[in-house]
Amino acid sequence: MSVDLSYFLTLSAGLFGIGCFGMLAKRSALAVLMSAELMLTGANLALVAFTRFGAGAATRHAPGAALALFASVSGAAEFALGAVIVVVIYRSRRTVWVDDYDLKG
Amino acid sequence: MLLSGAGTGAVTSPALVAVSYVLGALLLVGALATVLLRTLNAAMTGLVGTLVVAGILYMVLGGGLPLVLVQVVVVGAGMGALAFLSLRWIGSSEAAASPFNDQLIPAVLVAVAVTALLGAVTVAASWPGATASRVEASLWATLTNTYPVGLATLVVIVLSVAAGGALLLTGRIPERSRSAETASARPKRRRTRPDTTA
Repeated sequence: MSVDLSYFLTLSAGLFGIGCFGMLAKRSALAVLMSAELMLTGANLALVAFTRFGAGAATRHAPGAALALFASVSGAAEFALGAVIVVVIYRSRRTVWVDDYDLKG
Repeated sequence: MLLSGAGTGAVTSPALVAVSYVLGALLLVGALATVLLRTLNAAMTGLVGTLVVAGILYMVLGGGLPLVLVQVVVVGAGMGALAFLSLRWIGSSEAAASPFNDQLIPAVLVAVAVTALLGAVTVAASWPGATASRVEASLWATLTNTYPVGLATLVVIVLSVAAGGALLLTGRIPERSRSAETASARPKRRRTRPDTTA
């Protein structure tokens, strides 16, 4: 019994799909943000798996892991800023439901 | 094809294989809990669990200690910020309930289609299993030597987000606008579900 790149890519696809579902189906902006984080984690898992099993592994460089690190930090920044924006909108509109957001007014 | 024929050996250690399967199952369960649970605290717990399990998977895959540390920092800082902001300004009762919206069925279809597409690409690419050396933790050296500009950009991004977030939170916000009044006039049941709603 063994696990290879296919297993981790399937896992990554599953995580990405679950996050995609949450992003489209949830009404709370905070839940949408968390679902986006799930999608990002799925993509990062694929990058790290490529680092371990992919073409760059034999060269002992870690471009996939470096890219995953960049994506993780950028995602955290996006997540934090998104949460702040949700809070600011809530203070103005008194709602966290994305259906109620009307940014024109 | 670039990817086909370029892979390295599969993980064959029985212990690592078992750990990988267990972590994979936990990862998916945590992700499902994040999406399906309706209270903010439960969903946040699910997301924290998912990210922690992802960090452990990175270790299993030899992703390097800096990456795992960043994952831990992401979990701690991101979730801490979310919890603080939501509880401080929104309140757990307001932010907690999160029912599905009217696009539930299209969302299921899109998610299934995206997952199927990714799965089809994975299967069609037929990843190989040649033997090669394991990646060691040279990530920090790679970052500082190969990607110094990217690293500097990342620092700028993080500092900008910190400054922008602080400015947004401390700035004066109009208390209620016309759309807020419209939103508040809607049925209360949509925003006041109890925390225990599952």
